[in-house]
Amino acid sequence: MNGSSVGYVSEKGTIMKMLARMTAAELLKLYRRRGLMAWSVALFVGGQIVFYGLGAIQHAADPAHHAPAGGSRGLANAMMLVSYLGGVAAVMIGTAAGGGDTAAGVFRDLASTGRSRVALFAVRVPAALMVTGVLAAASFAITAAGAIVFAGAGPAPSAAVLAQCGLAVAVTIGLTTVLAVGLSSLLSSRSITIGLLLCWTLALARIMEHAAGLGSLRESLSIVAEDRLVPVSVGGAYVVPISVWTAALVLLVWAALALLAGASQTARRDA
Amino acid sequence: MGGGHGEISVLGMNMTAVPRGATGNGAVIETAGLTKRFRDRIAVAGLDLRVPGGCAYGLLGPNGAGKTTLIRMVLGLTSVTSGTVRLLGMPMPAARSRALSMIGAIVDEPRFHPHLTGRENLRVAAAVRGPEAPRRVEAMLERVGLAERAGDRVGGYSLGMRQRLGIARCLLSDPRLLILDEPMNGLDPAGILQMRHMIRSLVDEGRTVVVSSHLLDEVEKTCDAVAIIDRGKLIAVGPVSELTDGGRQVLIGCDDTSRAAAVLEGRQAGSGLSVVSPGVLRVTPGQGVTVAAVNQWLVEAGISVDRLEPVRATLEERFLEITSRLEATR
Repeated sequence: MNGSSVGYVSEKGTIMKMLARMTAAELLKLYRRRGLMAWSVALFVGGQIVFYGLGAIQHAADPAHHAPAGGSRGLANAMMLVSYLGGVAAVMIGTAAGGGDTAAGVFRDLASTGRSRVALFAVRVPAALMVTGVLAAASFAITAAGAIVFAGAGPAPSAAVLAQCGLAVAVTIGLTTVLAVGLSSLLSSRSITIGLLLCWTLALARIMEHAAGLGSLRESLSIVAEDRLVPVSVGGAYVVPISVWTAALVLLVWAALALLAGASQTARRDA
Repeated sequence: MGGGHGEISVLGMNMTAVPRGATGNGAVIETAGLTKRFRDRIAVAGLDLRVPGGCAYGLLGPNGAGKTTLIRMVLGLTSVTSGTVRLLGMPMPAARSRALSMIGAIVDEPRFHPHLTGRENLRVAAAVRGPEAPRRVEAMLERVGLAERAGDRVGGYSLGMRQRLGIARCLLSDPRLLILDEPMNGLDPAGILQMRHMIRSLVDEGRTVVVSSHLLDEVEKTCDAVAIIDRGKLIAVGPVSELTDGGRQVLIGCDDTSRAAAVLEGRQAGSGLSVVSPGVLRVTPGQGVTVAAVNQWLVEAGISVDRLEPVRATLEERFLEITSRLEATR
């Protein structure tokens, strides 16, 4: 027996190693949730496969009434699917990362190790982002491939458009994940967080976006910023036109607020 | 009310004694005036506690006495309303990180991620500890007898297995101090025995083990010293042997209990004179009255004495006695 005090003290110079170890542990907690992973794959990837599959069959069966599944129009629809279905999966994964320890009752044990609570919170973010990142990448790969393969006689989306769409997917899914991690850490409840975030992204934010009476306040909505990153040729005209830099700033503020709230509550809450 | 290492203090009565295994070590936990208030309810009230090192120390009290709240404050898991805590000689919360790195604790029942295996749960816990902790995972699984089931999901573990896995998690950091909250809860007799042996083996290695429990019998069998807490207050503290020795009652076996009672009454031998079973009297000898004198008086009166046995009160009896005396003073 020597006590592990030396452990914490001697690793001051290797904080990155420690964070990497903790992040790997968070990853383990996430990817071993079989149900969560299965549903996330279904939402991220299954939706795209079904969409292009059905679209291709319909076009093949009745080209006069059904446009090709791919091309710019197909890409626009597939992007919407990624945004909605992938967003739901990102919320589920983010809340599992943010509220998993509390739900399982192990946060108290982690806190009683003396490890910084901010660090305990912080490692949840990259772990969740890695999982959603991989799934979003797979989903977008199918989206892009489908848009090209099933473009039919029409033009396939250009590489520049696809790159912009890829960036938009990455940012949208990334922000949703960060919001889910932060909010579930703040509220210590997965179910409430899932409900609130789905209500926000699928309904309330869209309603507010179209509420002209809110004026320039709408520019601070996260979905306005996310939509701004989608090329006009794919997403159509912007409901609330803002500059890319404004969009970037809005997204950063939303992410920062979520992280700050989650970290602050994790550091202060009774365990 | 304060109590310290080597001193038994029960409602103002002080005796000196040194708990087994505590000699020469400093206090591992020291609290002064520790208080926790939840709105208008006081869970812990001005508690002064000093836990000596190198022993098994029991925190005894009924459910709701404030034991878990005390542990949570000591570990910095909840804020302190007032008072101070020192852990392994270090002030809390200033030296929280350093102090807690040398401590393993189970607060309430041990909880784990049910979808992970026992081994994976330990890997997750080890990642939060020092760099040496991951290398101790297999050894600790072996130590608590879970090596063969380490690949099973914890969701399928019995409570006893989870208790043992909890101990393994505590030991990952090779701690100097272990704080176990109700470790016997839900265990079957074999599991209780196993846990008792494990706690004693940890103490034999030089660690201090603080065991919180409402099971008086278990604390008596496992711990060297004990602090009794009731309604957030420390009401008795000291070595178990001293606490259980407090009554000084004597059982007297003789051929004529009514005559023996009359003789002892006439001699004002003590109090609490009663016949507990046919041919057996119980008395608490008064100040200055020895068991030998009691025997001599009875023999001189022509009573044949076949048994003179000091009664060793169980911790349970002492606990009830102390709490009822305390109740009477309220």
